[in-house]
Amino acid sequence: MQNSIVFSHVNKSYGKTAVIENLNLEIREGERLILLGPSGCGKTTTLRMIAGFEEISGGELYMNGKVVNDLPPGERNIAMVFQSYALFPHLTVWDNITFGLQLQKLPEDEIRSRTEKALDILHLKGYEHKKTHELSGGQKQRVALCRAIVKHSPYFLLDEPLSNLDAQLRQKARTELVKLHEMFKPTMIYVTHDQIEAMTVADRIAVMNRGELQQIDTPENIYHHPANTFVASFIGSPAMNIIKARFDNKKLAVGKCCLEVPEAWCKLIGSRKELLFGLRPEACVPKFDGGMLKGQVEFMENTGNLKTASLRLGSGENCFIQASDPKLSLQSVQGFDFDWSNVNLFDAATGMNIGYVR
Amino acid sequence: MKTDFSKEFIWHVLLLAAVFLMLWPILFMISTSFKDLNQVFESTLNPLPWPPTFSNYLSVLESFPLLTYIWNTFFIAAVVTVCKAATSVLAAFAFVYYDFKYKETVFNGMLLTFFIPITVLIMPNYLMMAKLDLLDTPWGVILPCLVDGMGVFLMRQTMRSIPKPLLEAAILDGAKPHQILWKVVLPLIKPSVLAVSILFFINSWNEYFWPLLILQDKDNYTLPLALQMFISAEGGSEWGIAMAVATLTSLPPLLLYCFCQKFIINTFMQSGVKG
Repeated sequence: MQNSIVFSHVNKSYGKTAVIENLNLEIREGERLILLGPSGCGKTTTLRMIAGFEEISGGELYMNGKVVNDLPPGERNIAMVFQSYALFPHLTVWDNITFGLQLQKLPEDEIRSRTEKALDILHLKGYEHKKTHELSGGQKQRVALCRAIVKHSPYFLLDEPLSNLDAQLRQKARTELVKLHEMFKPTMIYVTHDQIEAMTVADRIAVMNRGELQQIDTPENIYHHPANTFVASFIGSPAMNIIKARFDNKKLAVGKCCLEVPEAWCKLIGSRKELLFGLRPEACVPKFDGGMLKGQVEFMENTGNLKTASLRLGSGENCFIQASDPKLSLQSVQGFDFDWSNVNLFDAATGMNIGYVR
Repeated sequence: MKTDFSKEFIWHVLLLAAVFLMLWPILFMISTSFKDLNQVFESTLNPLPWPPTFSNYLSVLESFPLLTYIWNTFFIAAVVTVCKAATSVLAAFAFVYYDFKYKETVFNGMLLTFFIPITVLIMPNYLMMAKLDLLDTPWGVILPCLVDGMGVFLMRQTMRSIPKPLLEAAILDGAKPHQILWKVVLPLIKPSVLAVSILFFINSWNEYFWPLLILQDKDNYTLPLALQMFISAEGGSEWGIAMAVATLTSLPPLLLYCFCQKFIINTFMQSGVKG
């Protein structure tokens, strides 16, 4: 496919330390793919391999159908926004933006029209002749975007582009970024460790951990149908409750409670005994007498719009529940109900999701 | 507060003493240049000659080819400075931005040259210049001074402080190595290049021993060599004139340093912090 990026069995190691192991990943043309993961998970390395800054130790990287393992970065036709923005401090805003175009020796009026348009889109008119140190953080970030879009590259890489902005600006920048992408539709690869950013910006999210791709899917599926316990606990705040459970004779023992398992789930579970029972806090319906699972309130959190309580289940494990109604006091909660359609079950040995009842 | 004050006081006394020790010879040189020969011997230590005489300077300007010597010195210092700065920047660029086999070894080897005494190098260098038939020419003085390990070291330290993403951004835009050096690296390290250049210039300007070996013809002399013509071992040295020439000789580097002090100190601070 045109302008797609494909990792095929890609390895990356520094000396004997493997950073990326057997990465298989296809990034489709024109999509917004977010690489998400904790620090040190290899997401930045993956991005830098696309840019050509990191050598590929094994496997092939395809761009636009061709192997580009040995193509120098300057010939890959990539635009990139760096976390630090990487603006040249000795140049004006205008010269920063046109740096690449001038190197390409584009005609003067082409450079002018592209740059004027980009400045207009990013509300930077009037700042052309300022030096970069005269700009605020948000303006610098927009100049960096501007420099990337004037190249009209089919690939758009972003390495934590919003992490140096304060929270309010970040939200605004996020929406602008999506708008900008809709306008030009390049293949966009965006690295972040911020899951809110990932959820709001992505067409698809690739979750990575310890150099391995855990799951690649739409934000909805990543949230509701995590492929394994890592994705389940990494996405969402508070994270998904994952509780040890034992399946025996169509009954699931969770804590001191025993749950009747619906027939369809029993089939799915099959002969497995040790399971991990996963349930999102907001899928728990607080009960003040009884409930399918019971426990004592240990502590409460109030974030204004949401109230969270941590329940201690009989087996000594904690389970977060969230009240959708902020007026509801969770102080005297005895337990909670849930719907089996919200349940995720993982194999205790491998941590993999066993599947869903459709 | 009190201890702070007394601590600072002691430091200042020590520093004042150091400043005095360093400035005294210069003051002595300047004041002697305004004394006639009688005053030189009568009131040797008097820093303020009265009446001051300008005869020393007048006779220097009349009977001494000062301009020739200034030109000789300047020519050598300028060529040495430009070449040393260029080689330092290029070598440092390679050490910082290229990966090649034995890079660290080569770099460490270069650092080792700091510890080789100049005197050891004099013989081979002299023989080489003789073979090249460059004795008694400015090029004989210049040639062995075109590269400087210290310069490479300082430039490398400065370049390492440039954030990597800046260069990567330029690389992605398709910049070739020479464009990166010229359009990104050099503009960013300009102050440091200027600073080491000034140091190179001052050092070359003041160099005495090596030109003394190479240059024989008086017409080729540099200022520090010319200075020595007024001082003879058997007595009868014209101290006043000698000091007038010395004052004139040290004036350019002094002025240069005064104007560019900020850059020079910054460069050394940087190399200390980042090293």
